[in-house]
Amino acid sequence: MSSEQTLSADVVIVGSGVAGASIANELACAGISVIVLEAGPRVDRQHFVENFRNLENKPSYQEPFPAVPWARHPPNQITPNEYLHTTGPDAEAYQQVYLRMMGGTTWHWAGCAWRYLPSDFELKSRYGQGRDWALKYEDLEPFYYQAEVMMGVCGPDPAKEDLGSPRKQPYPMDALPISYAAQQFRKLIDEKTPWRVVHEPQARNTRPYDNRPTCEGHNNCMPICPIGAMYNGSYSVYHAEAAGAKFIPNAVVYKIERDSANKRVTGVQYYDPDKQSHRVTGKYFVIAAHCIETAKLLLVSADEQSPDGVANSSGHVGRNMMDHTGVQVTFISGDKALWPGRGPLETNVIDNFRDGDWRNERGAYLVHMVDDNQVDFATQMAISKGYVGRELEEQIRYLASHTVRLFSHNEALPDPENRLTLSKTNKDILGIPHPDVYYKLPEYTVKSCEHTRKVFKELIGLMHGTDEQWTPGYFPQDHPSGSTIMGTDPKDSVVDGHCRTHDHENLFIASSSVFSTVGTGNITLTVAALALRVADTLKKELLHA
Amino acid sequence: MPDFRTLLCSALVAGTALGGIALAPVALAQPAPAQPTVPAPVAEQGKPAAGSDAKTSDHTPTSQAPAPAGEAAAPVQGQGSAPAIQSDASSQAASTAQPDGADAELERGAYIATAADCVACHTQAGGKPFAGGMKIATPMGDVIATNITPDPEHGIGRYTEAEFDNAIRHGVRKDGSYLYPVMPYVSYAGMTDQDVKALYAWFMHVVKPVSEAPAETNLSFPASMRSAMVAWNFVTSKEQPETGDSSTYDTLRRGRYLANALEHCGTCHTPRNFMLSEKQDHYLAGASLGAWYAPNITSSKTGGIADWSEDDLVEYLRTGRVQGRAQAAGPMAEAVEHSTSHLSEADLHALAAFILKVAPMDDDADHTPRDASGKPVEVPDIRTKGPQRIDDLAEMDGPHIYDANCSACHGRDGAGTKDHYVPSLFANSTVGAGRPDNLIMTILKGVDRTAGKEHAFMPGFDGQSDVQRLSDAEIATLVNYVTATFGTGDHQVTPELVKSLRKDTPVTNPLAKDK
Repeated sequence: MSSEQTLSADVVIVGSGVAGASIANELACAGISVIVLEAGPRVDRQHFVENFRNLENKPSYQEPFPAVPWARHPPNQITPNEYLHTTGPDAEAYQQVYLRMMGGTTWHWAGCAWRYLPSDFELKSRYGQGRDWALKYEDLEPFYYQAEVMMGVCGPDPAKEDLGSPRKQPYPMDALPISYAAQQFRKLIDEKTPWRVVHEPQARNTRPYDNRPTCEGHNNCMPICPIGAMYNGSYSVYHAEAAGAKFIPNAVVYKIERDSANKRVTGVQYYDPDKQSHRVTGKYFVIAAHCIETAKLLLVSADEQSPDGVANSSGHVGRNMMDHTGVQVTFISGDKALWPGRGPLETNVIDNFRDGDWRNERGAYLVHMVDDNQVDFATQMAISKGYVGRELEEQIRYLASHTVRLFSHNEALPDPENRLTLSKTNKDILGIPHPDVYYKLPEYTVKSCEHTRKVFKELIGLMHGTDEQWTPGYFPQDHPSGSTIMGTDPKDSVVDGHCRTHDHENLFIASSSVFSTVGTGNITLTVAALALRVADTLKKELLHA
Repeated sequence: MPDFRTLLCSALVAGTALGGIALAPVALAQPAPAQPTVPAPVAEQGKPAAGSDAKTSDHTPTSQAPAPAGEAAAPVQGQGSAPAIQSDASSQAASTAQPDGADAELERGAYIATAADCVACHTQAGGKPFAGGMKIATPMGDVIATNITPDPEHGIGRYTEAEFDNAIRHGVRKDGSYLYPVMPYVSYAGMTDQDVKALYAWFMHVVKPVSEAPAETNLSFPASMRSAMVAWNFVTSKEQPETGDSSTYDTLRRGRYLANALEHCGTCHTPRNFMLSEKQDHYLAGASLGAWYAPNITSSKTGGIADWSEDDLVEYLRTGRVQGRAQAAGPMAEAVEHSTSHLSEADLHALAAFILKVAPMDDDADHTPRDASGKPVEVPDIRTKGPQRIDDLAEMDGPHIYDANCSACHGRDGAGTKDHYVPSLFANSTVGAGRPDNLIMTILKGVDRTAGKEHAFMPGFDGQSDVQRLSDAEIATLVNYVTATFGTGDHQVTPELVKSLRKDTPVTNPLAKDK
């Protein structure tokens, strides 16, 4: 069923999100031939803006993106859903959402662009927990900066606000101005607690940058920045295409072929939407298909040579699933109005709990003061309280201006039992199994969340809060990671410090799936930095071979 | 014969400022005016320019005040100028803190270089100042701007002052060959001896030599014959040299000098005859630059800018925008960015006062002031369906294309932002113009203009856009919706017109590209 024509390139990349697209752009700019295979379609912004505006359920950041049938993604954040099936004691805590299409999930991220702390890479040696990465912060520092330039990251002056990740250069753009709500929150934290609120680094323009405009604070970064002020993987796809990379959408890779020694990957096969199969060969292959889909692809490629899946001699493909599963509370401040929702969604963070000696027994976390528009929440609350007419209007106004939402990113640990497997019962229209994930929150994370709840309660008290609404259980953060874990030992890890698979010398993985631990900051900048480091490795090997 | 008009226009589109040609419809034989006289095409003497502000200078053209330019017009001498690196040589010539002669000359030269916008052509994006290399696309090939740093090998380091003058004001290089008129020598011909001398001094002593040779211009025949310029130079009227100290001119003479010898407004805004010389009886009456349109800026009440005050025009030249009137984009944005935003307050007023007195010429397409149309719209409910599948990229109708691409910044009602960073679409010359060219070009190419501390930016929506790539049909639909809603009516723009203005590869159907 193969097509007559075999496509070929120096480097074949599966996935066109920030990881795959940025590698494609780097390589194409260096004159290396590149093919990018994207399971989902080519898309554009204007239709998403209309989808968002037509959407009744505005807080849903997944629903404006109805998937194509040949590349399903979770339709919403609800458990159970029709695609990502989660089980285990904390099944609901692992209901991740992501997007399968050109540009990937950065269409609906909030732009938070944290560097990890040096300690995040050395959790085992510093605190005796989890694992160490097979690289150090210093190895990644130049690529962090390259990623910040590529994406256009704004952040505070390190001399004034040191975020704990040493920088050789300042941020490409100045930090965002502080919104009114955040000013009030900062004041409270400064005056009444031993903690601090810092500017969150953001892949968002605070001035015209890379032919995109300055952020105007539309407050719907999730699900869609309406003006392109926030970085999105599609820009890197466009740049890669302009540099000569070939982008093939609607190409659902389902098979990774290897040579007879099972040492080198020789090609990949993909289905088009009509289930016609196509083969693509190359010298190097990069799987950059998101943590969940990357592990799924390695597993579905199982055959006689690799009965447990490609790159899986360790048995760790699909294991060690992590997230920043956290705690969320919304309440009504009894102090003066905050008027949240003016500016980007996530700009202010309490970072005091990102590191400390206590990490030897409980996970680190960071706290977001979420600056989102609360009219929807306020309206529901006012109606549920029975208000009508003019009183309803007044209540909505009062509640919307006094609502505070806090959530946390709590550190998980890699636990092999937290595992992605292929569904035995559900398959997509191409016959590819859906992913199943078993999840039990590590005790380390549970303890971390308990600490967070105490802190949140203290903050609610300080703000004379009422009407607390705690998200039941734990709050998934859509930062899945760990499914092709990095390590120095091929027996218990999938990739080495350069994201090269231990099993196949020309197969790399660019995804949060390689994370050995998950730290506390949003994962995207680290994904991008690792990807750019993969591109650097590939350039060296291809250009100096 | 070579299509110089196309060549000139292409050069302008590439962001190049060309030479303004003669202001007055004078024959070549006519002697240069020795004394400031009434500028030919200005409004009737003694009749105030429409809309001019009482507090600004309104010298009669014959006034002969010996004080520095714009003495009465400038609110405060030496203050209020844009934060330019260049000093305000003209206004400082007579200021109390007088630099010594050599410094004064260098300051004057720096200012002349800015006012004449040399940097626009002779510096590549990201390149070293005045090292040349900028390609100016023409149908006959690229004209490549030369290195005009004082480097002796690759620049003009070996030019004597006389040779420099010969190039600047007469279009003849040191080696005796003729320059292409992309170099605006026909305009610079109007400079005074003193200003050319100062400009030479500045280039030789302040500009850093760059030892780089840009590629040679290599045009196709017959434009490749530089000697053909002899004939063109003979029939094309040139600006006549001004005399004396240009910093001491009265307001209108200074304004005329700035408009013609330095800023060369007419190069773009005056239509040309079949020989590609400016039609002096249509001075500043508007002309197409190929894609962008340089509008009629005469004092016509219907087709020009008679409703602008002097302060409006000063604000426009300094910042590139006047809420409720217009914003500079394309080549005009570059002129504002590199040149007019750096002019002294006095010079801005002089330039504005002069422009506002230009004789009215009614317009073929604009029959009401371009900025006078439209109002905020009642926003209709267009929410009729739920989210569509991510691969549904079907073309939307006008209201939805506007909603998805424009309304986030310009507002659903078209009112822009309260701080005017984003302008309203009603009371907006680009939308209200009879010709849709500039609206189409703005949508395709966006706006990118830095003046003072403000960086005005609108993304383009052409085939290179990262924000959104719109097809010719989508842009045509959008333009017709915007002009019908906020302007003077549906302009019936066709996708073919958009295609003709779009210089890059159109992306009509992104999906088609993948098949």
